[in-house]
Amino acid sequence: MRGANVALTKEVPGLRTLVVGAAWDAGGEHALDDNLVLAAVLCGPDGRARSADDFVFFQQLVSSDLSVAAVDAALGDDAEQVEIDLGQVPAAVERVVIVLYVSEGGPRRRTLGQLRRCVVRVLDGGTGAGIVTSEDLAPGFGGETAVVLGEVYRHAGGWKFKVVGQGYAAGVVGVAEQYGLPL
Amino acid sequence: MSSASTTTVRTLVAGVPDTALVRDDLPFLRRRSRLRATAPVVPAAASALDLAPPVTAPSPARSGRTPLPPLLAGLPGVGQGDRRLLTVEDPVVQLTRVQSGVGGLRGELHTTRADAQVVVAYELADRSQGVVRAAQPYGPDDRRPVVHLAGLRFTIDLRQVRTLRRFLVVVRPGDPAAGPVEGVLVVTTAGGSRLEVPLDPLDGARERADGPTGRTATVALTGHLVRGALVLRAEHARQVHPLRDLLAAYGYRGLSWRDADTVLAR
Repeated sequence: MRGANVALTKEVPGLRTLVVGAAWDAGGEHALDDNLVLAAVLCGPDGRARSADDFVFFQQLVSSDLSVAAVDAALGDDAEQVEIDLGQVPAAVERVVIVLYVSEGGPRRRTLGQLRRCVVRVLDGGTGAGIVTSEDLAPGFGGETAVVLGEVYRHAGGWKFKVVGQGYAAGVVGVAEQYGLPL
Repeated sequence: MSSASTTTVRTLVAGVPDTALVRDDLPFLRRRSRLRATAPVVPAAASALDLAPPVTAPSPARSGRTPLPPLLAGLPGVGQGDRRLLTVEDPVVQLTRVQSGVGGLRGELHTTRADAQVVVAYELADRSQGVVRAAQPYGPDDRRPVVHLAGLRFTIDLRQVRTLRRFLVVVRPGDPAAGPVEGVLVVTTAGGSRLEVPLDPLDGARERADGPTGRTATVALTGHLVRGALVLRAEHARQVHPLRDLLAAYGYRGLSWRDADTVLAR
């Protein structure tokens, strides 16, 4: 459910690597399917990115500290995945925000409201075992072209994950503005 | 990545027409050494008691995670929402990887000339080449074009930027007898950065006196994907009108032509 959180490192003691994956059903609409992008924003205590280097996506596959990486070939049912090496996340990074957006560089505009299904899930990167899966977020989408699916964040010396599901009508530009990411 | 970037530079050099001035203003053309990912900094003289990892130790990063190569040094960028004029003296801008991958890179020609045409040539990572013009507005295909054109506007789909090696934007008159088109090519990023390329009437005056006559087409902009970032350059160059000869002068020699102006569509 939106807003639900899971204490990852309590649920899985010794958890070292997380995989956050997104799975969706675009209903055969290739102009939507081809243009969906899963990305991560590394944020400091003020909730903002420190520089453009803190955006991890297909064109910047790994953060400069190597802690967060976009997975080139997602495994399982996920369409795309982001991998987080928890031990390598710099102390200055308080949370990693997971974003799904529609890239709007093609001639045909699509929105997230056209998705039939969209879930985010978290796996133990070491074993591949699922830790948490969100509800289907698609029914909540309308004309938005970006959504913050969830956040991995520090809590009491460990890490938690929260399902967010917040949509942005302004797309990835709106997300970038929210998190201080220079475009 | 590294070999592709090196080849891009080599191709560009090979594509420079014999009549062109030496481009000693392009720092990235002078950097022809093999590109490497940066290695972690490790003390060079680690003693037996040193807790630092030996030089030969594997990176603590997970396999497959290597640092991204640094972008070309010394090239100016453009901040979000900023405007830059790409002049003869200051023609180059290097986008960040984020600017090179988010949304579309959009260009629009502003001119009062009713007969102005915009043509975009491109080369993909697989070395295939193509041309997008009014009669063929999608390249390489209309199912998922990397480049598309609508009138005097073009868009490069940056979701597919990894499949792109380079592109070139030409502005030319419908009627060569009417002379070169004047105006401004405005290029914008998803973040609202704005690059303005003036199509300067003086561009023609910079041609060599013994160069070919009849140069009515303006090579307004070139773009190269270098280490994951787009490097854009206002060329301020005049070329001959027929696309076949113009594009060959810039190394686009992988095209088949039905006539001097019409590419055989794939």
